Amino acid sequence: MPNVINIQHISKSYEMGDQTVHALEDVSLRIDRGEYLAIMGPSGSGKSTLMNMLGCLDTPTSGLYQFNDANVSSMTDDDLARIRNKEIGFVFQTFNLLARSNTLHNVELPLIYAGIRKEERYRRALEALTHVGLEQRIHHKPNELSGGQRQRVAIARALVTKPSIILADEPTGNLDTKTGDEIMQLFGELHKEGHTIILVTHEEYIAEHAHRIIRLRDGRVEKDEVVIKQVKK
Amino acid sequence: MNLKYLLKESLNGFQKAQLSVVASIFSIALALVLIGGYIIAQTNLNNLVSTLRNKVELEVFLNNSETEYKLIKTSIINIDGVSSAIFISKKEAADIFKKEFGEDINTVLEFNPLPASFRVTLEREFKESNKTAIIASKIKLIPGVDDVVYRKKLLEFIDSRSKFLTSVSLGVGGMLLLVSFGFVVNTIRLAIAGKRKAIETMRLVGATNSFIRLPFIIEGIFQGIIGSTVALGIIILCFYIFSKFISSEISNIIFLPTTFVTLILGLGIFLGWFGSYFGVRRFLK
Repeated sequence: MPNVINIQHISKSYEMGDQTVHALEDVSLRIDRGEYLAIMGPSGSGKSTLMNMLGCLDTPTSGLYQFNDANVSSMTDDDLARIRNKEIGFVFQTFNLLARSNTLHNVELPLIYAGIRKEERYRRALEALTHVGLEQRIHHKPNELSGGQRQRVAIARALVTKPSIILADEPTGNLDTKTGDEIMQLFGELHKEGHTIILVTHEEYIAEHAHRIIRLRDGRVEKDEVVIKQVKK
Repeated sequence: MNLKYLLKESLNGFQKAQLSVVASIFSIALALVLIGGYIIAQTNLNNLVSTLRNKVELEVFLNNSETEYKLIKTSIINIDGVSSAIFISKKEAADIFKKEFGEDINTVLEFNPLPASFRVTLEREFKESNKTAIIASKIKLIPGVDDVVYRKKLLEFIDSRSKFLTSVSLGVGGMLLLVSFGFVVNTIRLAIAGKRKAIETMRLVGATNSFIRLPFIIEGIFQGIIGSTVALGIIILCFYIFSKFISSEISNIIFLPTTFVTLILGLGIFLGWFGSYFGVRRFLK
């Protein structure tokens, strides 16, 4: 399988007052197309920083980051925005939907930035919403939807540009167990369809849905293991 | 970039966040009323001072040797800083006396004691007490000149007060500008902070920084235009109410229509742009 992400010896440090905080130290990682991967670690382990790197929201202090063979480390802010727009679908714990826009407009948003014309946007947004079972809710605003439905909207938005990876940060963190399970089931289906999925979580039972688990501690990769058994339905 | 979308988003900002929009417009208007009021007060103060200065002229009285007046005039004109010297003969002095007091001095005293004189005006930059004093002393040295009289005390008073007033007013103006700018930028920044989540979402789904920034800036400029229009309305209203209570003889108030309107409008647009640019910038990295 060709790799989507290739990270070699990346480090990230921040200046906090007169102290330097090393959030990530010498992390190397390859993620292949079609993988279902979970990044785990306690708070302060560097998983949010790694997620920001993988999601092209930030660039490393040193080391190499290649996304689909393109060197991300040397990209401008606009280039990074284009990668986020076309290649990465984000799903967050807090859903990150535009509160005043309806479901359809929220899902269309990445396509607007990609410069896609109106009819095509509508067709693709409707297709993505149908995929997550929300075709009847296209004119509802986020506050008229349940938590699970909001997360489905976020997943539809993540899918609409047909990205190379879906990056999900604690996607069930704001949901009850039953709804969380449904969302994880949806991720499982997306993976079966061939999507590359990266989960960031601190919940063991959520990480168990993935086929590979990377454990971080103190900014370093502590363990990188392939989970043999397919857990839960 | 999708222009229609940008404009729609900018105008949407007005509808969606009415309270913060009103607050931003109000802050711009308030800042401009203060700055505008200050400019008007300052302009009129300067105007009053220069009117008073312009009234200052030197009266150069001659000995009773009218025949040499042409020579004396040349000597006066040649002094650096002298703008003009008008000769007033003994007869003309008597005419002026008659005009002012209603009686012919030749009849009252049976002779004309009034000396011939020059009325000397100075160039603008020489109308300061020390420079005027130097010119007066130079004129006094010219043969045939008896005495030089001018409103020395008035000039000294204007000089001492205007220096003090200029420094106070520069300080007040600077503070006013700084405080109003800070006030406007903070209000707009707070309004934009309310949309922090939306900005974060736009970043996530791949909007470039300029695409995110532009609607805020366009909205800021709109707010600037509305804010400055409101400010101009308030200033004009206050100005007319105020000028009714002040006698035009004392104040001779001026309003600077075109320059002033352009300045306030320009400042409003700049404030709106400046506030929104820096307000949104902190959420983009």
